Amino acid sequence: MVDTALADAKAPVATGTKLQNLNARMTSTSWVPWLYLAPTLILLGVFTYWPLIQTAYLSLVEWNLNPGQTADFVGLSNYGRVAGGTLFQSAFVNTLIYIAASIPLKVLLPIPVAMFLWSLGGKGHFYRAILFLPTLISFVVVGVAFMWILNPILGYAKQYAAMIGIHMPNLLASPGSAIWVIIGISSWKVLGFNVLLYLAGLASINRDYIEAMRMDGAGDGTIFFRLIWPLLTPTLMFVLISTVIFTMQQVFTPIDLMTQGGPSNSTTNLFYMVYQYSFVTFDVGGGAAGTMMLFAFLMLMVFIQLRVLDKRVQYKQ
Amino acid sequence: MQLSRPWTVVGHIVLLLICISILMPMVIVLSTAFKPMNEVYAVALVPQHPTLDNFGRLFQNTAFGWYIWNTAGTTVLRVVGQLIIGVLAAYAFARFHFRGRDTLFTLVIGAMMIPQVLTMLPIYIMMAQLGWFDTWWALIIPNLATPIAVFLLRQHIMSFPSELMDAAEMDGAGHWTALWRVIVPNLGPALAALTIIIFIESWNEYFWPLLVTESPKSRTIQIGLREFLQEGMSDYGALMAGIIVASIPAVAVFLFFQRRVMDTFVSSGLKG
Amino acid sequence: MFRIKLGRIALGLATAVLAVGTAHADTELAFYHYQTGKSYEVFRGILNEFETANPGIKVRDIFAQSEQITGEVQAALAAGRPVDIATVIGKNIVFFLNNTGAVDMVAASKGDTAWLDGYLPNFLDLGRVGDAVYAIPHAYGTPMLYYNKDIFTQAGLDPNSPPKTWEEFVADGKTITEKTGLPGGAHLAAAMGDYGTMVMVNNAGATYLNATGTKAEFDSPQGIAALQTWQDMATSGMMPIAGDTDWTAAFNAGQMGMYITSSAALRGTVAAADGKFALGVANYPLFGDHPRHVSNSGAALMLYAPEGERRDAAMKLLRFISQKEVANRWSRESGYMPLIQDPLSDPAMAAYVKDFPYVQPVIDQMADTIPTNVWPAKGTLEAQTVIRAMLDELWAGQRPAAEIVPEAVAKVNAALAANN
Repeated sequence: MVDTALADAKAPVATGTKLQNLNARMTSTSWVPWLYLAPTLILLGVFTYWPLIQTAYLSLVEWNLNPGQTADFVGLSNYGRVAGGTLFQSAFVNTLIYIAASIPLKVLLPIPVAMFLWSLGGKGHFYRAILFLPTLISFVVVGVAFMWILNPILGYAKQYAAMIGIHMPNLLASPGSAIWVIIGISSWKVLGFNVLLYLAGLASINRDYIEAMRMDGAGDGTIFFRLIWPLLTPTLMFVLISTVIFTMQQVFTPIDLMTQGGPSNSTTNLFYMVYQYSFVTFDVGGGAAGTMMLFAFLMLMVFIQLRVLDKRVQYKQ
Repeated sequence: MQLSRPWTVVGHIVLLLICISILMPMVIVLSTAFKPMNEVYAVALVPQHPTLDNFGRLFQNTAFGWYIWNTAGTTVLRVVGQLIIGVLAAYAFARFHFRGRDTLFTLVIGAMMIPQVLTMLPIYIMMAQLGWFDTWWALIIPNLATPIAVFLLRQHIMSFPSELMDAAEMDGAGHWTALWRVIVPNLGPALAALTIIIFIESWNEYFWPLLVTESPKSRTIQIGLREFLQEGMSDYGALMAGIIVASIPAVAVFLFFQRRVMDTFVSSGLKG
Repeated sequence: MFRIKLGRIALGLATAVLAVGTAHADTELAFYHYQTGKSYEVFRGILNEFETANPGIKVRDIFAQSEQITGEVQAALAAGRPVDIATVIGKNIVFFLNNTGAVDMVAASKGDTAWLDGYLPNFLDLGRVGDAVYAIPHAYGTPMLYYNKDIFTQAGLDPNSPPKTWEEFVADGKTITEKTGLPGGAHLAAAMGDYGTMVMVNNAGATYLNATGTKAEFDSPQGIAALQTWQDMATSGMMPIAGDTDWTAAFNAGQMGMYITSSAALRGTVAAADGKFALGVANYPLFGDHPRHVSNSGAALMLYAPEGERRDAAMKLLRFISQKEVANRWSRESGYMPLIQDPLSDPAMAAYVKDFPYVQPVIDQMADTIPTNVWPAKGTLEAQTVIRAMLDELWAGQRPAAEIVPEAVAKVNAALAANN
């Protein structure tokens, strides 16, 4: 399902004279596809790519968008200012932690869960429904709910822990543990969705092949590594890439509600930092510079993954 | 594929634990929402005197009614708009050869990788200049292009058996008719899945509406929640009520489309 | 021929109607604010009164949460959207002056500046640059000591004798925690720990930031001593390590002995305590033998209306709300500090204080209020992040304030160096 977007994207050309005619027609009428594509292309151009260019421009000037002032070209000084601060250092390190921690929790853990559900077939209906529930609710809802449960003075977590005799410290107030609470909450929210993505990937596997392999005497392990894993890798790559790209956005709301980047900058990340520059202090130059650095970082991450994993993805069935 | 017995048991245990961890917070939220003020901080899960007061306070203290209307209206329009535009683009990519097709497709998918926050300030200014501030337009239009819809639908269209296309062709149908009469009806499960995804995304969107709306005329539910958070920080009962109200529609839509979504995710589409 | 004549007449009529129509169109003012709940009702009530007294002017109030209003106003200005009067948080005034086109209210008064004289001089100084005035006080708060009389009694303390000094505050807090098991008390931190730290160190006789906001100076002995007190609060167990939201919730639920926070929370706290516990309000504790000096929190109003009808209308509005009676009513019903000189000379105010004695300590503290420190144009996010992190480290209690504070001050100054 996911392989073709990232690999060669040509549509299958069927044979048969009638379709050859159709193909001939499709290739020669040159303006029809453009008509169909126009809304998407215009919207993406105006609302995604053009603003990106503007942001690049804003990062190189010192201008707070004040109509009365002129924009002075300052080269890379905004970048230097942002990258030199202690906030950036913490944000960068934390970003790496968020991504590294998200991989086992959001990318790998769903695999055995999906395998298990797949083996249950239709009987897994109940589990699937419950797993999907967190996907339906917003991050604001999740943030508020956990804020209430983890309230350090009156919350349920503390009271339940007290009932079994544990004094629960305020996890969100300790620099060592706060980031793990945030990671835990965001994993809680996306686990179900990723499980379903893997289920979709597994669904395309033809069970006849499994039967055939079993009849040849293959054990569970062999079946998994020889047949299933290679077919799962396209989905894995999709989940991995989207996790890396979206992890920072996913933790934004919990951070904003519960820790605002603290304690001691232990939960902030590049994304939240850019938000603070742009929208809390309205430091446009700083925000734009941070944005471009964040963008470069993401592109680098995606590039690395595509390079590394491209060699391992197999499409044979 | 059948798992051996011990693994099956382990699997069930693990999944039950996961399900409990998912349901527990939800139960706590539900129970707090129905508790009267003096019971809110108590540990008991079942309120001794269940009440609807929290919901009442919620609607009194904020313009929640308006927020629901705005969120519902913009979401419906977005779903319809995004699906139509997505179908058109997917069809073009799937069924035509033209110069630059692959590059364009990469650009479209690449747009998925540009997180919204990176482009927010310039779009914000654009909204202001267009006069779309605090209107439904600002909530709908910038979001209408959906790379993930284009991607998913193109996959499905490309996997249609050639006989289907032949059938359309033999009736002498042009592209437009073929698209809407033949292809779209067969995209049912994919469209249902996308509906849910887009619906959830729009309903739960927080950051963008926060920026471009400023009055009950166009503010959405998630912002209402946040406002209520700031305002009634000590009123956790009403806050929990607000969470529930904000979440019900998504759950309802899900239950309605559930069968089709689950089938899309678990079945193999139109592949044999 | 006839048609052309008719056409010309029609055009002429249309233009005339249009001109008349436009001339009679209301002037609309855009007023950015962060009032909610009861304060909003009072605020809107005053605006409605103004509209009634000034037909032809409509005031549109635009709400943004206090954490967002800085960004909202600037973004609106940047996008060219109409902004006439904006609520600007006190410490950001310099930033706004440097980055936006605020209008000098003295100049806009065209000679008649009597309306500004009613304001308390030290409040007005905040917005003064030379002879010009760019910001007038609007929603100011001063930090007060709220305490739970019932918990005091429970802990064996005299409920009518709240702590007067910091020493007593910490001692009482420890007693409460020991005797009742409940948290003894906390002191508000505010966004990024900025205002909380400001109040603490200024009151102890130190200087938070220099006058232009370009240098932090609180690593003096008094500043370190004040922050050491804050560390003691955390390490002694009397202060749960959390944030303002949690502390407010705990105090309002009757689960914490004391809480030092803005007078702006007075009404909300009184309402929360109603029927739950007996509330007491006292003045901000003294530090040693230093006189009380508390920085105000809150926001001022700045003018952005362009020349012409809108500016005239905006000036009318500002004059309206600066009237003694209106300003006092605003303070009374919203809970913000009185801004006018000698508030008790207003009989309505005097009667109010009699009915609502909680506000007496707030009025008493007006004389001790000093203007909030202002932050400069550049480097504020980095600097405030350092302050926030400094508080977290202090409360963790691994190192004494004498080590943590000078380091933090150095980092703050490094960040603020961009302004020189």
